[in-house]
Amino acid sequence: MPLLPALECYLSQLPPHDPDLTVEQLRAWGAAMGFDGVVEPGPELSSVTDREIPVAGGTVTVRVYTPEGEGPKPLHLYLHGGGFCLGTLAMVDDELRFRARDSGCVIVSVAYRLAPECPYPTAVEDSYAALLWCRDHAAELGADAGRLTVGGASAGGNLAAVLCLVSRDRGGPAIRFQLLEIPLTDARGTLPSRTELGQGYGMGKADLDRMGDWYLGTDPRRRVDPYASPLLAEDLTGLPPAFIVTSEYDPLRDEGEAYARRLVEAGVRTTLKRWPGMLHGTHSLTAMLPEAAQWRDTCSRALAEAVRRLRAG
Amino acid sequence: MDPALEALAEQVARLVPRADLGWPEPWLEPAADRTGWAARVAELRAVHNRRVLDGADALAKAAPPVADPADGAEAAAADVREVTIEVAGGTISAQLHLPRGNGPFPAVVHFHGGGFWTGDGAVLRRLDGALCARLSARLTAVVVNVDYRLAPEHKFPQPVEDGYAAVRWLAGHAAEFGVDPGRIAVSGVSAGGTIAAAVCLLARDRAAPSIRFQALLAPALDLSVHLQSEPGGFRDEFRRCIDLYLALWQDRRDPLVSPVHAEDLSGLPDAFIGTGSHDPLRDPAELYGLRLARAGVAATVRRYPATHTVALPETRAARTADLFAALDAALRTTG
Repeated sequence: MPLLPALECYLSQLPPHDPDLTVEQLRAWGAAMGFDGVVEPGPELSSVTDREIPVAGGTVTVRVYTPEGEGPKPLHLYLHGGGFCLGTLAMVDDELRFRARDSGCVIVSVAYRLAPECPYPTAVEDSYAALLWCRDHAAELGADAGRLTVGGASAGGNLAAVLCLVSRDRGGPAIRFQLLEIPLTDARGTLPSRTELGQGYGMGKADLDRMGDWYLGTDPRRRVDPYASPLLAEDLTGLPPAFIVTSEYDPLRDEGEAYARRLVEAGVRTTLKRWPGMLHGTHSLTAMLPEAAQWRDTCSRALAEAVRRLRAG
Repeated sequence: MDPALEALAEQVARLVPRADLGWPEPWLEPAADRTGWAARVAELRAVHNRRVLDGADALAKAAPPVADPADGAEAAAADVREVTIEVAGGTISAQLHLPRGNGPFPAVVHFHGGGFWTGDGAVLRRLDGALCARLSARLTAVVVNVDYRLAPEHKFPQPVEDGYAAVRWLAGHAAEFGVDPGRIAVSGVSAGGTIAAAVCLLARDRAAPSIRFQALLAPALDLSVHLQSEPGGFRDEFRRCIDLYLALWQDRRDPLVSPVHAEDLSGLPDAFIGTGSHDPLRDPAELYGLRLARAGVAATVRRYPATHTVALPETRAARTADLFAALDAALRTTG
C-alpha cells in the first residue's frame, strides 16, 4: 500500500539530512522534539522506578516497570532504539507503560551506554550485564527468572537479537522469547531496502552509515561479526521463538525479514508481519496514527501470548 | 536427517509399503462406462485409505505419542455428531464437535489430508477426528471436520468450493451451535491445508464469511512444481494426486490451486504454518508464510524435523502444542 497520508505530511516536515551534525546536536534535536501530541501518554502502573546496575567499568540506569497484580510476573528486558548513538529511557517510557500493563510483564528498560563515546561491544555487554542482573534480581522485582524474554526496536532490536545469541553461546540465562521491532540485523547495509528506501523516507542510508561508523568503526571485518550482524551468524538453532515486525517503507525492512527467514530455516518458531504504509520508527507516533497504536497493542499482545504459553508450561 | 527420524520413517515405510498400490486413471474424457470407472476409483481409494490407517497404526506403535496431561477426560465427553451440509450439486457430511456450555464459542473448520482424493469417510473421522476432539476440548470450540468431495470424480474447484460452503454453513448456523461468527478459523493438513488456504482467499474475495485465522500443517501450496520429478516415492505420489485433482487444462498457478502464486495476499487472516524439514512441500509453504507477512498478515512459521507424514513423538507433541496455542491466541478474545 502507499505510504500513510499522515506520514506524507510528517515526512515533509522533517529537517533535511545534514551530514555535519554532531552526535550532541542530534541528541539535542531528539530531546527537543518532545512527545506531546505525538506519543499517547502511558497508563499509571503499580510502580516505575530507576535503578543503577553495575556494568564493566561503571554503572548504567535501568527503569523498572511493574504492572498491577500478584507476582511473580514474567520478566521482559527492553532495549531502546536510536542507532546505538541516540535514544533515552524517556523516549520509550509511555510505550513501555502500555506494554507492561497489557502483557503483565515486569519490564526492565536499559540505558546502555551509547556510541561514539562507547563503541561496540559496549552496548552488547551492557545489555548482557542487564540480562544477568534481571536473572539475579528477579525475585526482588516480583518476577520469575524462568520466564525471561527480551525485546527492542531498531538498534534495540539488534541488541535483543544479539542477546539471544550471546546468552546461548555463553550458557547464560534462558531467554524464552524475542520481540524484534524494525530490527537492524545486517550492519553491512547491503540488502536492497537499505538503498531502495535509503533516501526520502525519513531516517536514511546516510544516517545509518554514519551511526554504523560511530558504533562499529570503519573496519569492514567488524560488520560481519555476528554480535554486530546477527543475520550473519552461522548457526541460529536453539534460539527462542521470535516475533518480528517490519515497516514497509523502512531501509531496515529487508534485513528484519531476512532474519525471520533464517530463523525459520533454523527451526525457530517465528512470526513475521510487515506493517503496510509505515516508515522507520513511526510506530512510536501513537497519538498521531491509529496504526501506531495498533502496532503497539499487537506487540503487547504477542508478548502476552508468549509468556502465557510459558505459564501453561 | 536426524537418524532417529530416518529410522522411524524407514520402519513405517517397511511396515506399510505403498509402492504396490494401484492408482486410478485420471478422468480424461466422457467414456462409455463412467459408472464402472467411478466404482474402480472407489475400490482403489478404499485400499489407499486402509493403508493410511495402517500407516497411522504403525507409526503409533513404533513411536507412541507423548501423553499430554492437558488432555483430560473432557475430550471424550464432548458431543460429537454427524451433520449434512448442502453444496453445489449435492451434499457433503461433516463431523461436528460441540463443547459443553452455552457459548459463545470460537470455531474451527478443519480439512483432512489425503492428496485430494483419499482420506475421506472413516479416515478423517478417526485420524482428524481425534485431533478435532482435542481441539474442541482444549479451546472450548466448535470444530467441524469436513468430509469434502474428492477427486478425480470431483476435481478442482469442487473440493475448495465444498470447503468454502462448510465455512458458510457454520457461519449461517452460528446461533444454533453457539458460535461467535467473528471467531471462526480454518485448519488443514497437507491437501487440507491447500483447501484451507484457498478457502481464505475465496472468503476474502467474496467478502464473507469472516475468517479470523488459518492454521496450515504441511500444506501443499504450489501444485505447479514437482511435475518433472523422477518416479518412485512421495514425489511421484504427489504428482499422481495433482493429476487426479486438476483437469489437464487447469492453470496450475491459479491462486485457488496454488495459493503461493496469488498476487495479492493482503487482507487474509493471520496464519500459522507448520512445515517439515524433509517434506518436499516445505519450501512453497514457508514462502507462503513470508509472502503473507510481506502483505501485512502476521504469519507464524515453524519448520519441524519431519517428513511429510512421519515425525518423532516429541516433534508431534510440539507441533500440536503450537497449533493449539496459535488457534487459542487467535480465537480466545472477542473483537
